[in-house]
Amino acid sequence: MKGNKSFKGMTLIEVLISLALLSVLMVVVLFTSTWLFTFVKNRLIALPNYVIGLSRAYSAVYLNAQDIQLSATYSVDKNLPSVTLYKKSGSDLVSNTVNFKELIRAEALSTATSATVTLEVQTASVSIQQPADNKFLLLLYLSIPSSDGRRFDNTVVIKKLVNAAPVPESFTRNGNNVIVDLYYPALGFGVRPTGSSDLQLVTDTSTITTIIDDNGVRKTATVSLTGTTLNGRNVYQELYIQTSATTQPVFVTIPPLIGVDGTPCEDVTVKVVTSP
Amino acid sequence: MKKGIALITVLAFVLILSLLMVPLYVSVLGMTSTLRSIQVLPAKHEAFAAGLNVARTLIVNAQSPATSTSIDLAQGTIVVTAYLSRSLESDLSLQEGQEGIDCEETMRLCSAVNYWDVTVTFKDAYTLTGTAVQYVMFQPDKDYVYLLDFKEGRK
Repeated sequence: MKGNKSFKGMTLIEVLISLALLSVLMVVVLFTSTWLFTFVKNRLIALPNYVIGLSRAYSAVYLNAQDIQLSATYSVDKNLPSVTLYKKSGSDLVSNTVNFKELIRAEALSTATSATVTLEVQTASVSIQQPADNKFLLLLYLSIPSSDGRRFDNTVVIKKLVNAAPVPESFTRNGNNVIVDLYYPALGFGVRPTGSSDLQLVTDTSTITTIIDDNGVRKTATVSLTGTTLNGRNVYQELYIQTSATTQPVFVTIPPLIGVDGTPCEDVTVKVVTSP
Repeated sequence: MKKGIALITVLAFVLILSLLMVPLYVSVLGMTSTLRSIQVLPAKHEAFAAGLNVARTLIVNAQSPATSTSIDLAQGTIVVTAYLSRSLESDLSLQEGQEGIDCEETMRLCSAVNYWDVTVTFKDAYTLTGTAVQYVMFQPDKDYVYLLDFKEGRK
C-alpha cells in the first residue's frame, strides 16, 4: 500500500510538472505565434507599399525619360543628378531641367510610407551614368532603402531617339544671295580629314560652296553661319550663301554640317524653293 | 466525441489559414495591378524605338509617296506610316548624260532631300508623330534618314 501511495504522489507531481511545462510551452507558443503573425502582417501590408513606392519612382523617372529620348540634345549634371534637355519650339530650342532626386522625393514616394515597414525616402538615391562610347544613351540607377535594412534597386535605360540634324527647313532670297533656315541649329561645318570616313567639326564659320545659276553654270559662293548661343556654346540657325553672281542661283550646295547633338549632315545640292 | 473535436480542429485550422491567405491575396493583387499599370511605360518606350527604326527602313525603300507597315512585337503591334510631305529637287537633270530625265517617273532619282510625316502607332492607343528627313544618295542603303522633332499623342 505504501508503495502504491508513493506511486500516486509521484503521478500527481508529474501531472503538475507536465502542466507547468505545458503552460510554459503555451506561453512560448503564444509569444512566438504573435511575433510570427506580426512579422507576416507587417511584410504583407508593406509589400504593396514597396511596389507602389518603387513603381511611382520608376514611372516618374520614366515619364521624364521619355522627354529626354525625344529631345534635340541634352546635358547631364551627375552631381545633382539632373538632365537639361532642349526641345524644338518654333525656330528655337527651349531648355527644361529634370532634377531626378527632387522628383523622387517630392512626388513619387510622399504617400507611400504609411506601412509599418517604411521606405527611407530621404536616403533614396538616383544616379546617372553616360557610357563614353554612346552619347545617345543614359542609364539611371534608382536605389531606395527600407527601414528594415533592405534595399530596392532599379535601372532605367534611356536611348535618345531623335537626331538634331541641321537639315534645310526653308529658303529665303536676299537679292542674289540665299538664306537657308536650318531645322535644328548647327555647331559648325563638318570636314572629313584625309583617310577618315567621319565628319569632324571645324570652328570656321565661312567656307566656299557651289551654286548653279539658271543657265546651269556652276560658280563658287561664300557660305557663313549665323546664330546664337545655347548652353554657353555658339550655335547657328541660319546659313547665308553669298554670291557675286549677277543672276540668282537656282541650285545651291549646302556644305556638311554638325548638329548640336553631334549628328553629322552630309553635303547636298538642292533646288532653291522659297515657299515650302 | 473525438470525431467532433477533430472536426473543430480542422475547421479552426482552415479558418486560420484563410485569414492568413486574405492579406496575402490582397497584397499580391495590389502588386500585380500596380505593376500592370506601369509596365506599359517600358513597353511603349521599346515599341517607339523599334517603330522609328522601322520608319528608317520604310522611308529608304519607299516606292510611293505614302507607305505603311505593321509589325507584331512581344509588347504589342506597331503600325508605322510615312507620307512624303515635300521634296527638294536635286541637280541630277543638269548633270551630263541625264538631260531630259523624267522626274515624274523617277521620284527617288530627282529628289535630293525628302521630308516625310511619320506616325508610329502602338497597340492602337499610343501614337508618336514627327518628321523624318531623307538625304537621297545613289543607292538606298547609302541614304541618310534623320528623325526630327517627334512628339507623343494619345488617340
